[in-house]
Amino acid sequence: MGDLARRFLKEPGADDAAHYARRVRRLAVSYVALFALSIIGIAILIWRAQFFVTLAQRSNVETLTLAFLMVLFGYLASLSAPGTWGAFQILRRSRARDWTERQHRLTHGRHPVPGNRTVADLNVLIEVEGSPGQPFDVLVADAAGAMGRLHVDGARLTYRSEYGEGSNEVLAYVERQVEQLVRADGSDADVDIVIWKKIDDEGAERYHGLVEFARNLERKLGDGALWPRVVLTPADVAELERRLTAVCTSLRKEAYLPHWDYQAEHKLPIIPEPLGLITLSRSQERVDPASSMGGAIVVVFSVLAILVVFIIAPPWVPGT
Amino acid sequence: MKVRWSALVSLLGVALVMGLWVEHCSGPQPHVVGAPLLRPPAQAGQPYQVEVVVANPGPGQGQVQVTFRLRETSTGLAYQSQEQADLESGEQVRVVSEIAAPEGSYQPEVEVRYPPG
Repeated sequence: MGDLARRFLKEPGADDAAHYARRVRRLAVSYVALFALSIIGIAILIWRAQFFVTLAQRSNVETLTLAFLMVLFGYLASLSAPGTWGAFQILRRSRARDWTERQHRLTHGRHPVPGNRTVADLNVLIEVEGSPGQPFDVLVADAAGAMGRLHVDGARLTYRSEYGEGSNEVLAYVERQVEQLVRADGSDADVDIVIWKKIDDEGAERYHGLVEFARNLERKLGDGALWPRVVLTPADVAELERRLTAVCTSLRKEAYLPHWDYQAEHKLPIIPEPLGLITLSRSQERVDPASSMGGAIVVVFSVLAILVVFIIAPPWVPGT
Repeated sequence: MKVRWSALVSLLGVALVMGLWVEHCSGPQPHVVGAPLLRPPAQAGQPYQVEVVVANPGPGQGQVQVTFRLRETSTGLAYQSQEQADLESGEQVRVVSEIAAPEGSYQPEVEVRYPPG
């Protein structure tokens, strides 16, 4: 996977705790900006409705295009409305004298979601030195309290959040930290999440079944590793726990924001539809909401800019 | 730094394309200059004439629609006609329209629209 795609699309906040905090801030701002721009778009279309309908008719563009834009703006506004509300909640609850009080105020605004768990599967098994094949847990907590628990069982990462719904980005963060730790130990292994259960439930279970089959077969045969693995030392696990502690502040804020995780596909039609004989495409298993909402902002802002330019300097249309 | 440069170049590219679009693909930005002039019919049964100057200060050119109304001051009833005018960039044109209306007291109103309906 390209480093740019990983850093900007899939896992924008996974490098370290500072990145994670920046990502949460960016996500909160993105929801507010997307909501505001969508509402402005709807307002402009309503305010200059006659102008745009005439322009659409005279330039041989279907008036339905305007309805499409209304639906697009409406959809994005409804998608970003919970995030906008969450961003204001974060702002309101972050106003306290000291750090501990701020954390408690943030925590008290969220409720546990029963049975919630965020699951992803890695390309490698993670084991702790001296306990091959054994699962292990890492507590995600800081001085203000526990935020959740990470359970690692072979290639499967499971995060159970105490407040709100856990985000996939926590697991992306774990993936990057594990890779950094094993590389610091001298390994050159790539540690990648290959499937996200919240995005592809069936695919995740299929992959998990295959990994478990390999692990069981390995135990039966007892003759070397069948699936690639990385081994963490107990000191690495302690360091992982410390690094997870460092993101707890961000997790409390992130719990107020919706997690719109999607797969993404970028298509470049060489011969466009209706022939569509050649189309270049590239897909990502997961695009982080901070990136997808950022992309949506670019699209909405561009459409708004075109609408405003059309109002200020209407395009030429043929005479009657 | 490389990303910032490419972002700056992209922004400049977008601004250039927008500028060229506005310069070469814009329509007129018409507006009425001064008050419309109302000429009563020379003889009974002939139409009223309303005259107006329409200006286009914008960089674009194209056809505009001029709507003339004669509004009867006592009843508010309006008589209306429409004309088309082709405006070049920076041009002012005089547009005259005839409206068949019975003899009376009228207030002329003119509206100019682009794009024409």
